[in-house]
This record gives sequence, C-alpha cells and structure tokens, in this order.
Amino acid sequence: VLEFLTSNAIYVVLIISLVVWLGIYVYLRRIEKKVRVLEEHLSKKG
Amino acid sequence: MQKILLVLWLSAVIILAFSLPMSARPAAWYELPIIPGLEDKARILFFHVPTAWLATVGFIASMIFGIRYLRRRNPEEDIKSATAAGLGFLFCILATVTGAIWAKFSWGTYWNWDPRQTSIFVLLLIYGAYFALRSAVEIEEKRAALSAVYAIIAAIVMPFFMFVMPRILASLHPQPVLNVEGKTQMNSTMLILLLASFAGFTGLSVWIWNLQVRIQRLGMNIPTTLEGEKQGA
Repeated sequence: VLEFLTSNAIYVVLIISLVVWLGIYVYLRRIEKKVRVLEEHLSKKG
Repeated sequence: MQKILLVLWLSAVIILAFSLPMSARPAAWYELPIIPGLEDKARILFFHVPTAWLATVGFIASMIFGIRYLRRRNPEEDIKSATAAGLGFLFCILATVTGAIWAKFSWGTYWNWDPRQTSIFVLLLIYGAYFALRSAVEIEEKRAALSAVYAIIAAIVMPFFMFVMPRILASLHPQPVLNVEGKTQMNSTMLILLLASFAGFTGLSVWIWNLQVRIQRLGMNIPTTLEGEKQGA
C-alpha cells in the first residue's frame, strides 16, 4: 500500500481531504446535538 | 437524513474529484480533460470555485437579512445577517488560501498581487471592517442598524471586486466558469462534478449558518431564562 501511495500522491491528498471532511462533519453533528439539548431545556423552562 | 445525504454527497464529490483520470482527449464519460498549464492541479477547482461562490452567497444573504432588519427591527434578522456575513468572510478566506496554494504551484509564488488576488484582498478588508464596526458599537439596536446598512453597501460593492475588476484587468487567473465568452474549458463530467460540489458546499454552508443562528438565539435567551430561574428559586 505504501509503495502505491508513494507513486500515486493524489490518493494521499484524497485520503487527507476525506479525513478533514469527516472530521468537520462529526464536529458539526456533536455541536448540533448539544444545541438541541439546550433548546429542549430552554423550551421546558418556557 | 439530510445530514447523512450531505456527508455521502460531499464524500463522493471528494473521491471523484481526486480519483477520476485525466486525459488530453477524454473519450470515456469518467475522464476529465487536461487543462494546459494546470494538469492535475486543476482538481483544486472543485473546492476553490465553490468557496468563492459561497462567499458571494454569504454576502448577498447578509444584505437581504440586513434589509429585513431595517424593515422589521427584529434582532433575529440582525443575527442572521451577521452570521451570513461571517460565513461569507470564512469562505472568502478559504478561496484566498486555496487560490494562493494554487498560485504557488502554477505561478511559482503564493502572492503576486494579481488583479484577482488584489480584488479579493480588498473584499476581505471591506468585510473585516464590518466586524470591526460590529464590535465597536455597544448599544445593540444601534449596532444592528449600522451593520445592516454597512452589509447592504458592502454587498452592492462586492460584485465589482468579485466579478468586474478581475475581468477588466489582465490576469494570470484561469478563465472563470462565468466568463465573458460564456465558454468553459470543461467537459460535461467536469462540469457536473463542479455543480455537484456547488450543491454539496451550499448544503454544508446552510447547515453551519443554521447552527450558528440557533447558537446565537440561545445566547439571547439563556440570560433571561437564568434570571427567571433565579427569581423562581
């Protein structure tokens, strides 16, 4: 695999881009979950 | 469901953007054309162009919510306007950075004050001043009204720097997608992938904007709720 990636650097870029994008996605999902909990808490308090 | 669709959509765009083969004369549907002088570097197009597009969308949205604030005087419209301007600014920075990286490998330097680089730099200064203005005024209504007016004026000026100035002056920048001749150097596969990237990035931008507006709204409501809880106790 390492040999393949060394001769095809574009796939290294692809992997890094995918990891960055999935990281952003997970981060946003976590923030959304926290925001929803706070919104529910506030709506209960009226 | 929409979020899962978005993650799959943008992941597919990233995978296709970097893995589709390039050919001087694309014969198969999955082949991308080689753009002379850019070669493999042309692949950054699928990320650089959508960020510039989203900067434009963010600035226009900021103007629309600014107008709505001035008509209704609803603080929520101010939050929406400022959030849209913030996102536009973020994507403008991303377009500048991806463009500079592209320039390093195509022109040999990150920055050479090309008309397109100069115009986006001025645009960054204009919107940087917008946030300076917001942080300088403490009275909420005054801040909202002033920044709404500024957002409208800035968005009127924005197309000149984004679209007109780089086309008037000679630039090293490759022909943009929306060019004077109305022609693109792309084949249909490249164009479809670029449009798919536009759609994915727009979805991501709307999601971030929605989250930020909800967080700001919570920030407005939490102090009053805490006050109520204290009084109740």
